[in-house]
Amino acid sequence: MNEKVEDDKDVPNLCRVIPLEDYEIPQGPREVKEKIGGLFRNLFKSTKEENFLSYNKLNSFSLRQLDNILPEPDWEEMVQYFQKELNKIDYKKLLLINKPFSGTDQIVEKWVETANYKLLTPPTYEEILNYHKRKDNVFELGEEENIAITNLEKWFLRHHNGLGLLENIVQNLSKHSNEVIIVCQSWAWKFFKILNIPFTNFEQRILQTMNESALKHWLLNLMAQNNRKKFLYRLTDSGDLIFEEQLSLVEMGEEKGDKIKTKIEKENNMEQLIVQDEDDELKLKTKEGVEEEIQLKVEDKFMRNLIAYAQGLPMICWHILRDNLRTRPDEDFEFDKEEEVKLERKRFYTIWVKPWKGITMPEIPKNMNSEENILLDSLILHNGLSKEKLALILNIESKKVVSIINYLETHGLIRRKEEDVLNIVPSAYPNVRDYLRSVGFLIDNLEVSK
Amino acid sequence: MTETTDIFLNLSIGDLILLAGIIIGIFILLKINKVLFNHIKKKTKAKQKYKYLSLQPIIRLIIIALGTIWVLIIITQPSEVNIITLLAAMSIALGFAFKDYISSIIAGLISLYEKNYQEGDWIEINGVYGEIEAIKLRTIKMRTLDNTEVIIPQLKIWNTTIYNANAGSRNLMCVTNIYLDPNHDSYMVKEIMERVTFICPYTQLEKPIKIRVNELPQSTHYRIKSYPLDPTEQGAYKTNLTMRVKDALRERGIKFSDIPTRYRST
Repeated sequence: MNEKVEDDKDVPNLCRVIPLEDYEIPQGPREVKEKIGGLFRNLFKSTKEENFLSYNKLNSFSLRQLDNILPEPDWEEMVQYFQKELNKIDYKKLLLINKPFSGTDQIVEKWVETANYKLLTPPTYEEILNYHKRKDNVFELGEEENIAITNLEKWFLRHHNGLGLLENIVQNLSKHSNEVIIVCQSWAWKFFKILNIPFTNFEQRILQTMNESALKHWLLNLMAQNNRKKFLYRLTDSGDLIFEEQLSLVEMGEEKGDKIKTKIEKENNMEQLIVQDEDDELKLKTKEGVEEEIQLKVEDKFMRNLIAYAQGLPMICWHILRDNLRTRPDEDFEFDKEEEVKLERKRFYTIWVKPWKGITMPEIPKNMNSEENILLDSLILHNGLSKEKLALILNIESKKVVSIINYLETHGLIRRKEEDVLNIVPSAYPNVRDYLRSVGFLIDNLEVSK
Repeated sequence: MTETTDIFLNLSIGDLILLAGIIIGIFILLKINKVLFNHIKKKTKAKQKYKYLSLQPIIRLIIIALGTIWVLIIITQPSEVNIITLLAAMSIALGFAFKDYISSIIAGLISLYEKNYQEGDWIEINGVYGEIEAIKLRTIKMRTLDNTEVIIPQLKIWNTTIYNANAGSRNLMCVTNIYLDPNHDSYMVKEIMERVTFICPYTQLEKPIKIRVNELPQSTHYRIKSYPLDPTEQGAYKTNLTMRVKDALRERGIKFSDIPTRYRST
């Protein structure tokens, strides 16, 4: 089943189109040994922790600054790799399973722009619910066209009248004479499987999830995308870098003579400068002018924990990282000044990252009732819904839905995505998924843990 | 007789204080046991809840048994004669006074051993259907679907059939009854019912859904057998499912049976 070819290594992890049984989720440093070690460390640790910098005294970035530092991915570079992967598969009809926050739908959407495919946009929910009143086909499919659907989960509603249209389109596409690519969200796919929606003739594949090195590579590319400034990502508790690749960036450095690399200030108010001397050595220079050699270290557990918590889903990592970036109050992050552009190659800007143990993920409140559970499940299954549609699915009055929404919003589990569409908060998704599995909901389990 | 009274007369002040301490200790431990398991019941996820709750009556029994033995040892300061005298006296007195009570306790002990039911199970005894909230040595405390608390003596298990709907798991099958006018396409109706039950978000999707049809003199009786996600909300589940099925059938012009219940045979 493995269709690995020689140039497999060139393809980013996220773009590998693989059979469902080959899907693997990354493991974090969560082995028993690690846990026992952590227990002992917590038991005997000093109550007064010595942080490199106090996270609370740092400033948040504005949205504009964040968009510069870590912009939203446009998936442009993935398109060519995705095409390469498609060339390896012998398919006429392809069903791609899209794990929530994996970016698969966005990659395929971007790819469709360059490929000779017609993208079918999802119908409105009114069209879905009224489909049983019509006898005709909703979409006229040209026989010569290649067809793509990037979000099949938007073609149905969990209602007794909400499946007819989906069955019709899947049936028609199964018989379509040309190529078809459908992207379907993994929860909806599992639901359709239980309902025996016939994906006859469809080859079922998934894009491999990210591992630690792929994530680092992807994030560093994103960071380099919008700005010419050089950022060092360092943890507030130890001052260590989170990207190993940046170590070589510092070491390779700038032209000789570019003195200031980054400025840091420890809790004792002693100002320190990291400078690079004529022999390319990094020195720590204090206010008094004392110079000593320093070594920037890399903390690799942060990224390993991040990717393991996010179950390899890149957009969850992206959200968590963006939410936990800070800057020193005196660090100047003005991006548009001309003089800054001149200086940019000479200076490193430090972006401070909250250490993993300090990051709190949204937790599931105790004593959740079945309506709250179902609301969470419905939002994932449909990849976002309005409160009116939630009321229809739950079969309860809108007023009650509003109070459930408020409750879940307060606990940081859901958020408004577009105007009135609600969806799960990315950083809450892994916890929500585990919770829904524990209370008996059908989840999207297809992965094999290593 | 003199020897029997001697047993109690020989107790010192220290013994009496110790006895009082033990009895208070037993009550405190029983209270802790109750509070702890109530906490577990509230805080633990449904899947693990059933596993832990079965331990509560066993722990209670151990506390009472050990406490009683300790008290007896202090009172009787056991010698062969003391033990025989005490046992004889106890058995005669208890035998007459607490015949049913003791039967219930023995039944309670047997039920702990046999584990035919446990806390969190939905059972039917003597026509009473509800969730077991507590299994005590002598009684079972149940709560019915209309929120009534029912206390049933363990004695009833000797000669009563017990229906256990979920047997220690969270999988509880519900039967939803729908009566239709006989003049309809039953293939279509069965398909609609199946679809609606799958679509209902309160249904456990990985469990089977079965529709049984029974033709009655003036109506067709459909029985939808399915599993709710949460057994404690089976009443709400059946209501929700009935409403959904009725909506779907009404939209397709299928008529419901209008035969009064008293003429309907089940």
